[in-house]
Amino acid sequence: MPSEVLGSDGKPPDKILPYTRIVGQLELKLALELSYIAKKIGGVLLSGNRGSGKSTAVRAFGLLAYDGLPVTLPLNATEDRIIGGWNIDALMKAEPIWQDGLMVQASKPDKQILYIDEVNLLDDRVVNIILDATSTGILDIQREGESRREDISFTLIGTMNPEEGELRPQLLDRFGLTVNISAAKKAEDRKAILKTVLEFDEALSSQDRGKAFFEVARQEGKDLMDKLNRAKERLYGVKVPDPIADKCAEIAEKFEIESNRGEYTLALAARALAAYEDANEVNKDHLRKVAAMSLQHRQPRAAQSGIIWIKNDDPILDELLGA
Amino acid sequence: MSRLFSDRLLEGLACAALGTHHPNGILLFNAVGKDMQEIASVWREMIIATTDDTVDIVYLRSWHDDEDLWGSYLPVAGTFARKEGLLTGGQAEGQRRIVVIPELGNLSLTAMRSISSILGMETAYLDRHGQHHDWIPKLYWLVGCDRPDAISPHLLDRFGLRLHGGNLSATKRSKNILAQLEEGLSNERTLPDLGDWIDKLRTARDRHPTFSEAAQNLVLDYIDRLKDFGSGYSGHRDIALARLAVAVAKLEGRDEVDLSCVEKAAHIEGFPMPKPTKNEAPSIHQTSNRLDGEFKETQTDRQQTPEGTPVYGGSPDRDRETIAAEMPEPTRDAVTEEETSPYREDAADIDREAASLRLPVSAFSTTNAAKGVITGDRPANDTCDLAITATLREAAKYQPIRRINHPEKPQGRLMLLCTDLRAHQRAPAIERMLLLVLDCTCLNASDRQKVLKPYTEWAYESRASVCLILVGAKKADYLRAEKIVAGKLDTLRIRTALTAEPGKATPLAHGLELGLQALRHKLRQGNTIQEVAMVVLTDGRGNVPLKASLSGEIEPFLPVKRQGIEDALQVADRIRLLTSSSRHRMYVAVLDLHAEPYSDLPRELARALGGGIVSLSHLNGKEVPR
Repeated sequence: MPSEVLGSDGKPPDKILPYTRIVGQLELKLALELSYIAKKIGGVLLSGNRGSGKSTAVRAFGLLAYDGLPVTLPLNATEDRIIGGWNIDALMKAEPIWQDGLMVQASKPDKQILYIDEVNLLDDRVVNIILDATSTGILDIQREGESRREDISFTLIGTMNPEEGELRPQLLDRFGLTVNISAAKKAEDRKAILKTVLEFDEALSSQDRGKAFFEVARQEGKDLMDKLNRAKERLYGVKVPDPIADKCAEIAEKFEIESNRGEYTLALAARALAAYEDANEVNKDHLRKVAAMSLQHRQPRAAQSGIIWIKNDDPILDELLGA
Repeated sequence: MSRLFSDRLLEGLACAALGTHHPNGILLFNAVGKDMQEIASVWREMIIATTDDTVDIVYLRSWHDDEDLWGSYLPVAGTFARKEGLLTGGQAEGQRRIVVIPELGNLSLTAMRSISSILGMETAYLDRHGQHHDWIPKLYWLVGCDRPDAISPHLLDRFGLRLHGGNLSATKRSKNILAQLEEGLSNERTLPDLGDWIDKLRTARDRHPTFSEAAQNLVLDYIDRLKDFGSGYSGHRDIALARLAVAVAKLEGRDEVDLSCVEKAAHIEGFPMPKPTKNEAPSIHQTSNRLDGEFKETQTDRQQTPEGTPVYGGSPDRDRETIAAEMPEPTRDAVTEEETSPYREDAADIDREAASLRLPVSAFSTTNAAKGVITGDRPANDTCDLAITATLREAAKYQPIRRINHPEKPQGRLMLLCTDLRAHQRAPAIERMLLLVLDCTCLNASDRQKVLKPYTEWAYESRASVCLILVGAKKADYLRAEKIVAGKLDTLRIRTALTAEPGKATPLAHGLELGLQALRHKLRQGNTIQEVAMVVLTDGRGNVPLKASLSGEIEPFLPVKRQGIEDALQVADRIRLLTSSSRHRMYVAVLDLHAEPYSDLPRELARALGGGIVSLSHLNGKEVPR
């Protein structure tokens, strides 16, 4: 087995660009941060073409928020590793040692994220297991002579490239927020990204070079986490006025959202944003900023033409919000 | 300096060996089946020079599955022990591994999915059969790719460095064979002669050049220029070129990555070079003496020769062999790639299926479940399609415990429970077939490709098997048609056959006879085929009687008249009888070129086949002269 496993000290090596140094991708970052503030949002799906930095952002956020890489469900995962099973090496020595599956591992307080890269390439059997478990929050295990019941609760984060096909609507609905991202195309943004990556490469090349870079990133990360944790603490202190709650339902109806999860997520994400912005109550601007990411994947057209918030949706939303 | 390969290839390999080019994936164009072993050996020595680690080389082939790639449990000395897979092994402290894929397009879907989950990742994950590991992969990828159009661009995008294959000369090839034979005798590895590359790499690895502002702008410029070549854009491209330029600067001993480093990096990868204006001094690559033996263009020669015609350097009057004897032994880049993009997938005529990395589902609700290619195993409730090894592996885990719990059972025997059962997990079986009768004498090769495109696309996208009957191909026996069968369209034999040159005669009746035999075999012998598309591209002018084709002799001085045509119609009639009584879904069509005279022949043939006509009147006049 490879020896460079992560963490002799339990910490991964810093080979991932620090979260605060990621250039642009504001929507993506907002979605990840809101899902941290309000865990009940349920998850984030990042859909975008190659080279848009989706995976880097998720891993970097995991490193920042939980001081370790997120629990990752790889495409090669077998059922026993997803649900849980016996430790085979111990079993061979007649020692029955149970090994938690990835879903249970992700539910531990120091993890809280289950990350699936290329989520649209997952085997249907695996998707069904995840759907079954996340819909109830309970994982009932009856296998290999073992009977267990585990509470599971994690933020499901998926990344996918829509060129490789869309997600099943049932799985799509498990993600509270979705963001369509594309690689930066403007020259100034590209240059800023290039500069950052080159700086990061330099920082990795030697400890002396990296010291300043990582120190700045560490301080930025600490400031951001302080802000996110403050927002998390005061989340349920932020009021959602009745007219705003009514507006959420109205917006969901207008955009033909079938699942009730749509308006709930919209309200919750707006509340998390208000908490992040130090507001005492949710207003229409908060709703406007999170409407697309809360609703686009729940629209009927998502199943046919993919997750997309079209230009015509903005004037409709403006009209509903009285802009 | 080693003259094994072009400087450009060696420079590319050296840059990749420096490890500045994460991910360490090289996509090699025009190298499939050629020199991969030699290139891998060269790269290995370079990686050893930069890392001081040991480096092994493994090959990924079309038959490798998840167990081969990620590892499995094997019986060892009375118990089971884990054996590392191709992607997980060779990465302990002080070890690195080169993974060579001779042709990416030939890999199984399982392997493609596995690669997409590890290549370019900062961290690799393994969660299989009770094992959990995450690690920083130390894999270097050397991947041949001749068909970027057939591969997911999502996967291709993971390869930051694109180079052109080696093409060893015959002399070097024979030297290599002798060296390998020696190696076999002495049991020692013969190191490739890398000249001063090793020293250069050892010096380069500790350099940390800074990147100038102007060089950064040039990187973006180069990527922008790709728009002219139908390029899309991926955020990886700017970074890949910049990192290559850093490696160039390191190799050249520079403290700063300047414009020339970026230019050289772009040259190594085969970026289109900026066209110099009249007064502009030629760029470094035009002035430098190209050692790879390519044609040289000079300003003075250009005035005396037709525009765009390359001329040899040196005196045109001298004997060619004399020149060759005086020159260093040339190696050539396989193609002149000055005016193409290294991101060939952008400009490629897309020939792949949509969502090509997804696991396919069966199109038919029939009992083909136990007939597809095995892709893994799954828990089972019964013994149908039992995966014996996987079942034993599962049972083996519990033997020590079961022996303790059941002392009354015979201890020397395997205790198997129904929860141990594992069945094969399979890809859907091949359920469609394209039967293509191709009359090479009725249409030239390029037009043939166009008119057949809807059918070849169908075959590709639905993973159909292909039975190609070549009628009247130049290289075949002129009295007989030739049958080529393949499990999928995208094989070298089929691709070559589709562009076969026309021959002297048209044994159409024999072609249809071979088609009839193929249909009989597929429709009656209980295989997995559910749907058959039979497409006949011909003008109907068969001129070889079936008897002559079967006997291999033609009676001299006897006029053929309509015998070839009549025989073809008769065979077509038998095909109609066979297909009309079949339970399979059939699509039968004759492509009508409206070739004069006798333009009614394709219709007659379609009627006899019981199929339809697809009119291709716009191609009239491009007929191959008979």
